[in-house]
Amino acid sequence: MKAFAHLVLHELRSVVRDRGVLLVLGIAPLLYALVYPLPYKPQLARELPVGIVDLDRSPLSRQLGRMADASEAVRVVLRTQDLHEAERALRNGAVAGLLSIPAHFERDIRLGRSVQVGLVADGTRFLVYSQAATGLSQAALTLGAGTEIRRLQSRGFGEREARALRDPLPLQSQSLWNPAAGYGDFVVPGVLVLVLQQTLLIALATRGASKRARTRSRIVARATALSLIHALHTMLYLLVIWPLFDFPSRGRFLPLTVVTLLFLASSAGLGSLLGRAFSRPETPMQVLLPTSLPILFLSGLSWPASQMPTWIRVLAWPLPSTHAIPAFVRVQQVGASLPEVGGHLAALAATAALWWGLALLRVGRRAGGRGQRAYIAHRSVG
Amino acid sequence: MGPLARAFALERSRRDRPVLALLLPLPWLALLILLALLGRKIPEDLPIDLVDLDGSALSRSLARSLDASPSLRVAFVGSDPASAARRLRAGEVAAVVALPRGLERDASRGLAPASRAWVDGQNVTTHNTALKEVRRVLGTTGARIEPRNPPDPVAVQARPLGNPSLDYQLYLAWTCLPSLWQAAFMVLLVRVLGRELRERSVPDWLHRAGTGPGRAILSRTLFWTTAAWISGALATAVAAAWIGIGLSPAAWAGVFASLLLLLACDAAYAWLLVGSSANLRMAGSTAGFLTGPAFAFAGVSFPLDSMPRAAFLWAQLIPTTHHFSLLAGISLRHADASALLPPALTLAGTTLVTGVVGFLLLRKRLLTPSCWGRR
Repeated sequence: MKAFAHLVLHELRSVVRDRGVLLVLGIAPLLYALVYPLPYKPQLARELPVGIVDLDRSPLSRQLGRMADASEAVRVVLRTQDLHEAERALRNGAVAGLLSIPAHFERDIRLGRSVQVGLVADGTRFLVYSQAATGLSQAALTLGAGTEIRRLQSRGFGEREARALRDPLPLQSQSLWNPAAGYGDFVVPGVLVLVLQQTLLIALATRGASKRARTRSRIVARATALSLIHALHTMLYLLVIWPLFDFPSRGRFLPLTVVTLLFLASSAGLGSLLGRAFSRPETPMQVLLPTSLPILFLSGLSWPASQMPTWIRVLAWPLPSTHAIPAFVRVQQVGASLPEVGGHLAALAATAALWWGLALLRVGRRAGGRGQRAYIAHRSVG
Repeated sequence: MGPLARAFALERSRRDRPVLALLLPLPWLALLILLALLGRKIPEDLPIDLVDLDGSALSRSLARSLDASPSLRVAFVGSDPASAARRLRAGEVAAVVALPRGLERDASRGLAPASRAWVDGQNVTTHNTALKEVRRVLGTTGARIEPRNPPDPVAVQARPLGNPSLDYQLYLAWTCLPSLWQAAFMVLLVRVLGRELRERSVPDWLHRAGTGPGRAILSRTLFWTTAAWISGALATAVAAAWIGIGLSPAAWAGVFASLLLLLACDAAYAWLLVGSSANLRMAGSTAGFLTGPAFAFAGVSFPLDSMPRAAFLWAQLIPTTHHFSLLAGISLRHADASALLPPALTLAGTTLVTGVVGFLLLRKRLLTPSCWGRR
């Protein structure tokens, strides 16, 4: 045990001396953690510029324009009667959405007819579309609901009855854990788990390429040393980055610890295996970095795993992030308990066993003993 | 390979073969995975948990309607809210819908009994779809059971421009493609240029190429940029055919020109990174730092104008940001040329300024033996 601790310390000293590994292991996780959340800090797009094509120019159509402008999601920057001009502004990206109010809008509503308003929004960016469409359609539907309730009241219905007639089966909904469906809370925590995985893989593979660990104990000691640094990063993320960016923090100590340990064990196993695959220290970074984006998609963070074809899920299964990202997000963001993420934890443990088995497969036990003894002898001479 | 290698100063590139063998197919592999992964295009059969506290004909009819919706699947029906909450917390279901006791009786009396839905807000992709669909099913069932239900005075007909069915494959795979190529290409170029410095092989390289450092840089860069462009253009065509994006010849020309501009800008950055550090590892790490989070800053997942100032300024330095404006403008929104000019000029200007500075620095490093061999 003492010899193993010496090996771990020796590896930590080597990491400090290796500027390339120190950059990946010590600096990159901090830089990414500060840079990645930055664009998503506002969580939602607000005050998106929109246009109103008012072909009615009545008091009611102007009221609809004002109601849209009052919405937090959008800001009316264009009011016109020219549909072509408005559509051109939308195509050119000057506005994110358009609400088209037809001629005779007010007259038809007063006559009790149903009027259709047109809504076009930029569908090339989903968050923009969602916000612009929500802001504009809510204004139109609120105006319609108010008009209808007043009409029913004028026919002798009480307000409660009028509302019940309009919506006989109402739904009260509540979004849990991320009430505003903020994009930062949704995507960044998962990305930070991926940052930890990728930097640990690159660092272990780089160390392996610089100086091959030839015994089991050295391989395990190296992985332990580098994982310790990442365990510190995980603590730093939870104690500094989460409060700094106001991410929900519902994780309890035990589930968080178990998820982190299994995640680091699995990533360290894969990294140790990769450490035997590269012969030049600069290569792991060059090859592993471009894999980050597809690995993120494979984790099911932005597109649920249940929607993926089976063969893709099979392909994604051995990657630690496939199980660590959902486990970490459920535990830290949602407050899930250990049994609630049991499936992910079992999969993480299985991938850890798989990668460690492969990494240690061809390293003999005797060689491990020899290496350890040689190291102790070296230390005692030194 | 002999004359070609000489013409493009590719001598000694044999050493890079193992890395090139990984880097060149990597973006292709990533693209194919992405296209297959998003094959359903829109979320379907999202599992929900139904807590039926009424057990009436109406509640059973609602359960059937929810299950019949293409977007939803009633995965669990029960009367235990605690179990449903556990499944929602574990991420096994996208939402829990609770139908109250007395639902049918109160609905028939016109008392508008309120059902409740708890939706997993942590998953934004499924959140909106699940909530919208539950609301729609309750709305249509309500209209059926209340004959006096008046039509909405104002109905909204929504149309998404550029992506009519809000297809995730078009939204993510099409826009991710440049990021995949940018990441692999910048790293590749940093490697094939920076390695000559690290290995102290500059004199040998220039001797074999039979040319000076400036021309050697330009020739090698031209070769790899052209290769990446052909590969990227082919991938763009494959992705368009897969997703079902039809473009006019002029639009195709615009998309390919924009891709070339993106790669040229990446090449300029690669020169600057290698030229300023004269250190392959440092240049590679910085290229990774630039290209790794590029997609987050490109304005695809979060609009540029809504980003904090620092993030907005950083996004302006990243070539994919401007390329995405061009790609979406040309291929999806069919923007006017006047609207495409600003991102095109920004990309061209960045390429020019970064390229000149990077070229001069790199050329100087190649001529300075004290800069060789840094690790």
